[in-house]
Amino acid sequence: MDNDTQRYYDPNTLNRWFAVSCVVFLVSLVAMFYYDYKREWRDHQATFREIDIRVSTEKLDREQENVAEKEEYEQLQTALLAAQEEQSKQGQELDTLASELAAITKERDSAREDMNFKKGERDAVKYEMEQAREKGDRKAAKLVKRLEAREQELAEKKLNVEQLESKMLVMNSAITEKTAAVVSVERQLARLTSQGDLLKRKLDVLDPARMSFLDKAGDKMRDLPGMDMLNPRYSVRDHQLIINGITEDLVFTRVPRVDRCKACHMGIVSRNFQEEENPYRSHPNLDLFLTQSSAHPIKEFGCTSCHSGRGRGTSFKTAVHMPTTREQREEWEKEHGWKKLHHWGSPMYPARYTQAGCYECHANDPELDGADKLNLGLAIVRKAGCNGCHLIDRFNGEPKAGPGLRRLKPKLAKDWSFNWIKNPKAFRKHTWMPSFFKQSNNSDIEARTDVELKAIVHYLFAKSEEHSAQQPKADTSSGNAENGKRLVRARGCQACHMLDDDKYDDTLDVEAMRRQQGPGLVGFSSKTTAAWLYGWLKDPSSYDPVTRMPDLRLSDEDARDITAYLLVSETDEEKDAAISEVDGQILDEVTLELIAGNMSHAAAEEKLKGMDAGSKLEYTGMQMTRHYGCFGCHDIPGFEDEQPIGTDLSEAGSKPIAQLDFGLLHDLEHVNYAWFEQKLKDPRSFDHGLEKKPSERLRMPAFGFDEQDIEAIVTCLLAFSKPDSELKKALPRTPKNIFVEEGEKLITQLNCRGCHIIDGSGSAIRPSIVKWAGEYPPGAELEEAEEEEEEEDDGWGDEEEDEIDPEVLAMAYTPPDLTGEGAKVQPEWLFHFLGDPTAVRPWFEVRMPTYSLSEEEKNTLLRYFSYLDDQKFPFETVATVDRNSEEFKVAEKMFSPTVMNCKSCHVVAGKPPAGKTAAEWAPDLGMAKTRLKSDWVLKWLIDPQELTPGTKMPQYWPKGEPSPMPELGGDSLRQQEAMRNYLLTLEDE
Amino acid sequence: MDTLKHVINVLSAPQVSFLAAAIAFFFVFPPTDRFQSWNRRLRLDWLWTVKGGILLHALVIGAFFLSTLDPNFRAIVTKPDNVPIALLLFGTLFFLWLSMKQACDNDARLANDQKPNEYTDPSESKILVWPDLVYIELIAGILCMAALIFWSIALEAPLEEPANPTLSPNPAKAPWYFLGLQEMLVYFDPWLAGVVFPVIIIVGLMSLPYIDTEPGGSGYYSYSDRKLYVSLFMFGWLLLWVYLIIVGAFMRGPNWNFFGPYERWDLHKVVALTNINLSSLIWVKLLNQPLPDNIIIREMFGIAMLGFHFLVIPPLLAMTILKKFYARMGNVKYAVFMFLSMAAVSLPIKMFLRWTINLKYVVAIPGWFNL
Repeated sequence: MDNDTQRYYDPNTLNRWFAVSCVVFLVSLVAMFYYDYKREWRDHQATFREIDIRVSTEKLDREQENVAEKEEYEQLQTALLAAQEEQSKQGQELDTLASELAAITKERDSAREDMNFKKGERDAVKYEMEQAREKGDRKAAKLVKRLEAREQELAEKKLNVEQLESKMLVMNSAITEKTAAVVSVERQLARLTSQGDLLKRKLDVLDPARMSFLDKAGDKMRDLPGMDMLNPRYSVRDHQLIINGITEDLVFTRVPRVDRCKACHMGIVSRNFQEEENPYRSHPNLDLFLTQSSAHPIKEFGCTSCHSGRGRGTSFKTAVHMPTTREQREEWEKEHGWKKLHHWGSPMYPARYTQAGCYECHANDPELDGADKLNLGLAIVRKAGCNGCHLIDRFNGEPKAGPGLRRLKPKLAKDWSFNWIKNPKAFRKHTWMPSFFKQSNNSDIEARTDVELKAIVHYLFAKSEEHSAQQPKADTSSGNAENGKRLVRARGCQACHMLDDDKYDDTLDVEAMRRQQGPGLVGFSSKTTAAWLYGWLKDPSSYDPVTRMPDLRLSDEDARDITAYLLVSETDEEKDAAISEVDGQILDEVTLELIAGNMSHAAAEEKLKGMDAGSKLEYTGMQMTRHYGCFGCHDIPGFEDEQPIGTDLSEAGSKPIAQLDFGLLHDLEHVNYAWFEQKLKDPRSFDHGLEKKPSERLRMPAFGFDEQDIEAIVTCLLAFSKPDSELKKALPRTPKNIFVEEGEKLITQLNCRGCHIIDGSGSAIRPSIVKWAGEYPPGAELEEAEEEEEEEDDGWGDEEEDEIDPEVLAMAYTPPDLTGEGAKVQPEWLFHFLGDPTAVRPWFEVRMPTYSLSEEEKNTLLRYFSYLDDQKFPFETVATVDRNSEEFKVAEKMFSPTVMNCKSCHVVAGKPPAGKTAAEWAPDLGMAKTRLKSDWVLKWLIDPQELTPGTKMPQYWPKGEPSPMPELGGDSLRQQEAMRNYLLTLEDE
Repeated sequence: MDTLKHVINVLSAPQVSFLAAAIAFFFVFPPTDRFQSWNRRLRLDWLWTVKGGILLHALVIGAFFLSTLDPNFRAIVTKPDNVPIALLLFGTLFFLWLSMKQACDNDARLANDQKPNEYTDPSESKILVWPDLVYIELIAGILCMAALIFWSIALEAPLEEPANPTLSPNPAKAPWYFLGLQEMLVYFDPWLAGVVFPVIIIVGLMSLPYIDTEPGGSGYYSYSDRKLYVSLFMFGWLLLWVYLIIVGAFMRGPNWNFFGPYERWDLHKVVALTNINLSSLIWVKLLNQPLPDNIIIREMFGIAMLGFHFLVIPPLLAMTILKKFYARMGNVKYAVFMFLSMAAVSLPIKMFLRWTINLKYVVAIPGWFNL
């Protein structure tokens, strides 16, 4: 270069710089492609492919073995050979036909092209002509002629094509005729091997070992970087789900949710991968989720609508998987470079809290099949009375969790109350009453909390009302405790109450909680008086109008016996230590502090001087009752309109983590569920290390939940999240769903499932009935009496034979299964029955209690049963009976001992069957007319097992067989109707 | 080690670090001959030699990487948003050193009656656009692209959740280049810190060529020729801008509390931040009197202080220390220059008053004017 001398920089140096920078740039580009290409999901898809090949090959081998073993397969193979041989004899002819067909096909193809061109020309001319005619152009006439000519030409071409095609048709059918035999055998074979063929076809494109060299090369090529934009095997696009009806927020617009989870979880919908590792595994519950036949097909629900998380994420981290424990987090950090994506508002539910996701759509469902943990959590939240202090939308309007404290005086002593509140579990180990005192954040100020507690007790007793109707109507000391023990077990108390000798289940479930509807029946002698207990048993609602304890209609004698039994319970505590004197100085301090909250310190001191000890105690007691929120669970005078004291938990799950105060517990995982767990484990622990005045300290009481309870409750808390207003998958608000939900709410409140099976679950009382049947075999008294009479006969030897298995015995004595109740009984009867139960099964010892239900509540239950069984409410079939008709006479005959002998088991109009023990009796047929729906009776006669599986009622008309009786033309249905009509007249007997 | 960290945490509090930096500043960047003689005596100009530069960089970079061993420090500086800010600061240091070195070299040459380094013979002062300029631009462009690609591979873009107007992050931070302004919000009314000061900064920068019309030192790097100007600019740039960005980016945590470099960002940190207006301070505390109802009377001390600051100090200076300077500048230029300078100085003064006597506002007329 000439002007190199004029250059400011040395050209060679610049060239070297340029070369180096180009190399660096190239490296950066390669790195960019490399890192863009190297994705977790690609590796997972490749691994899954290997797994899929292995699993499918195994399956194919099995399938082929199966088919090869079949006789039919061999027969078809020989048949095929024979048919092929037959066909090959006509080989010459077939070949000629085929080559002729090919020639004509070629001709037809050419003719069709010609026709298409003509069609185009015709259309163009037609348009021109129309335009010209519209404008009144002179050319129009000429164009009309040209159009005619084109139409003519087109028609010729068309004709040509049609002629050729009809020729082809003839030849085709000739060929088909000659090959028909082979084709038919082949088809049969294909049907036999269809499963295997499908797998083979799948493996042909999946397994490189089965591919030709070129296919293999192509298979590699299509996923090379840069090439993979065309039609790659490994892609996210092919596995992403776009869910209509479930939306997510994308820059302030709601768009259908996009889930890409399947890009890694490739085998999630198939049942073939149950043994594989994550992420290749099948979903653990494919009957309920993902499959097309399940309730939640993957195409309609996707993944994140239940699991939450970031559906668009295509790596372990960006999908916002959440670890369950600290160990898992550390493992993930090591293995996947996991880090929490702080800014993603809805991280995935950790595996053990997955059921929280159900609530999104099933917020109104009473009890959810398959979501045991969530059900248990909801039951605990209700039972523990969380909603007493924390507003929770779902539980609005629920009754208070604890007993009313409006009339304490006749029931309790102050000493007992003080000791009870101070440490409830010391008195009753399994009580649901939580502990407020002696906790981690107030053990150091016990002197002060004792004063607070004394004040509360003072307040409760000072405000307590008298209960005039509480006078014992009989001498309560003369009860027979032994009989009381029997009665407690027989009358059904154990549907709601645990007895001291009953073992509490180690692990709580919904069923066990039903047995804890009421308090455990422990330690009454130190708690209350015989007079109160007797009055309470006789008429609970007169003492507490809103109690959930129903009236069991006990006789005076029964009530006396039970009272006697409960008062001598074995685990009687010693008399409680009496309350010590209130420490006046502390009381003054506390009272002053409370008064000073509303006024200046000086004025408060002035006011304090004017108060006597009693009014100080009462004032402090009231303030402390408010402070600890006692009124959240108990009805307390003076707190009728008070607002709950706790944080609103309706949307606890979507609360930002910054709003949860972790205090100084730095070792706690920084996630909301860890916070909830800690709060439930030790509610006061967040005060640890903080300097707080007594009145500022945390006051949530300790319930003593175990790990399993906490897990269930946290599942609930996570579930209580901001509802998605755009969600379209929730149960529709149809009358059926609304009425069923309302009914379920009431049924849960009344604990109907303590005795009955309703809609598939319940009968918590059963174990205790079995136990009772073992301890006090029903009918024993009767037998004893008989034995006395027959003493001379010395019937001792028969005793062993008479002993019946308590399980079987219990079956006859367990309150009835109410599945299908809506279809079975008449609404009017049920309405009256709920208000004033009458004995349907007179041999029962256990009693349907009288609930003081309002009309509205009764109707809620009626609607519930009717809608649950899809009853055409209020229409009923009315059966008309003509006593002189042939049908009536036939039915009478069938009813008689000679044919069906119904009276041998059934009570009829109060008359028990002769010669049977009560355990073998069946319901009173005299009640049929007023109680049962006639449609139901008919169905019952046709097939009792279908309505109540396991019933003792025999089936007189075997299904699908002719009637065993010749009457009424041997027509089963007519006989059954006749029988039904007859049964509905029995009332009059 | 923990003690050392604790000491650094304490020293880095703005009260200490800003004051120390402000005092040290005038010795490192002397505005007048007297400061320069101190500068020479303390051998601070050694910083601008190659050896000094290596030591300076080794110290800063070494301290930085040593500090990353501390989990709290590491958590903050390795945040993807903060990485470029850290890089930028190293860049600032390097270019500061480079320009100062060139200026010092030239000063030495000029002192020996040599021409400055950048001097070229007017007859030869011609460079070819192609290839000299365009070629190095191309190379620079390629290297920049490669650097950006490597960077984007190494650090994933910090994508965040969909915007949610009801949920603001804590701390909510401005982009890094505005952190200086945001830091000013701690000391001034938003209207002043967010509107008036930025306008003054921009107008001030625009007016520089009209204020500084002296031809000396033009066309080459030099310090001695333009001590006052360079020193004042550096004060505004390093202390009132870069320093505040460092504080804003790395030391302001949740609730805009100050955190030392090795301190955990505790969401619940509580600091006593009770402040008092000048009017209350004087009327209530010193004079033991209720606040006057009349706003003008109530705020008269503050207004007087402001008047003193802007109207009395500049003429005083013109009559004393800056006599020669004033004569050279003339009335208008001197007035504009002094207004800008006094406005710039008011920021550290206000900061200082806040730290020492918890001063909230000098003049507080709610709804109208808070300073």
